[in-house]
Order: sequence, then structure tokens, then C-alpha cells
Amino acid sequence: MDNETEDIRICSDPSELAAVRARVTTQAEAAGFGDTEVNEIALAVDEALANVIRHGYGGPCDQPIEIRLERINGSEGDAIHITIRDFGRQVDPTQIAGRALEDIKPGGLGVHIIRTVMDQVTYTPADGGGMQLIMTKKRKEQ
Amino acid sequence: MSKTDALSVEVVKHDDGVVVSLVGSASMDLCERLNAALLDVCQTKPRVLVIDLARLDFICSLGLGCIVVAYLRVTKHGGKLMLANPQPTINDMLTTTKLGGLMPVCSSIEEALARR
Repeated sequence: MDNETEDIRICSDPSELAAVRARVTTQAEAAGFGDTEVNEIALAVDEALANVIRHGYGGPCDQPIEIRLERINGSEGDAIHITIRDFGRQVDPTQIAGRALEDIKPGGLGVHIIRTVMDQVTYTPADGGGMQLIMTKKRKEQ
Repeated sequence: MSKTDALSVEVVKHDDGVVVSLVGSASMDLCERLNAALLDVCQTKPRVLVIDLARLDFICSLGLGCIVVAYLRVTKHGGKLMLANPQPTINDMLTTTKLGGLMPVCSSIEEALARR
């Protein structure tokens, strides 16, 4: 197994998201994902960070968010693992769900998008407060 | 980290409706601007509102939410909202969220205006 890891630390400022998307895009491309999957991965990270900023911290722009990007080259195939750790409000993971898309209203699409475009999504309350989200996308064989 | 996103919203009135062109990235920090621009247009109660996505590189779920709000406002007074020219990544997101099935997606502004 040969893994590459990049750690990113940002504040809960929405203006940070574009730069994170750029880093995620670079890592996903380096992992060999195609254009569509690269965009999906960057979108999932953006949505997850937006949820942390809006719901985990509730607005302040100076709270810490830690992001780990891991490119996995393993015997079961290549993948990218993304871990997002915040120190905000803890929630019951079973309560984190996207709304039914048949309800035509503006909010609640982010979790649905994350769960649709990523292969594995796991929310857990983190030791010491806050939440940890681990998302995995496996690279399809070309 | 560097801050690189930008979004401009261009509004052009036609005889057949209003075309709003989104240029750049509709990311979280810029959605307030998008929402305000769309609500300004909705207040004019257009019979047809076309949102041109040809030069939109990225849109987050909040940005889609702004479009949903505009859709609800336009249809409330009997108007129509249509999307035009989405790039493949935007089109994928419309499919993922099923919004592409809610709002007609056209391949050109002209086609959208003609479908009023």
C-alpha cells in the first residue's frame, strides 16, 4: 500500500472554500479520477464544509476545521479518503439526512449530494467535541 | 489559503422574458449576491425567466437553493423558469438533485425563450 496524505487547516470562513476545492481537485486528479469524479469529490467536500460552517458552528468565521486528504493505493483498488473534523456542535449521526427531493424547497440538498456522489460517508461525534466526517470515493477501473 | 471565487450576474430583458446569466462560481460566500439578484428579477414578475448557465463553473447546494426560491416565486404568479446551457458538471448536479426534472433544461437561450 502506498498512500499520500495532505492536511489542510482552515477557518470556518466561506471564502476559504474555493481554495479547498482547488486542493481537493489536485489530489483527486493525482489519484487518477476522471473529470466527472473529480468534480463530484470537490463538490462533496464543499458541501460538507458548508454544513460545518452553517450548522456546526452556526456562522462565526474564525473557528477551526481540519481536513485530511488521503490517496490510497491498495490491493482493493485506488481511492481517496477525506476526513473533515470540526469542533462545533455535536449531533446524532442518525439525524443527519438529506431531505426528500420531491419536497420542492431551497435547503437540505447538501447531505443528499454528499451521499449520492461518494461511496462511503460516515459521521461520528468526535472525542473532545465536534464531529468527524469520513468520506471515501473509490476509483473505477478504466 | 487564497481566495479565488467570483460570481457575476448579468440581467438582460427580452421581449419574451428575462435572461439572467451566471458567470463564475456560485459558491457559499457568493450565494447572497445570487439570491438578491434573482429576487430583484422575480419582483418584476417575468412571464419567462431563463437562467443561462453557460459560463457557470461551479454551483453549491445553496446556489441551487437560490434557483429553487426563484422558481417558486416565478411559478407562483404563473410564470416559467427555465435553465439553459448547463456545463456537464452543472448538468450532473441538476440530475443528482432532480432539479433538472423540475425545471426545463434547454440547450440555448433562444430555445428556452421559444418554449414559453
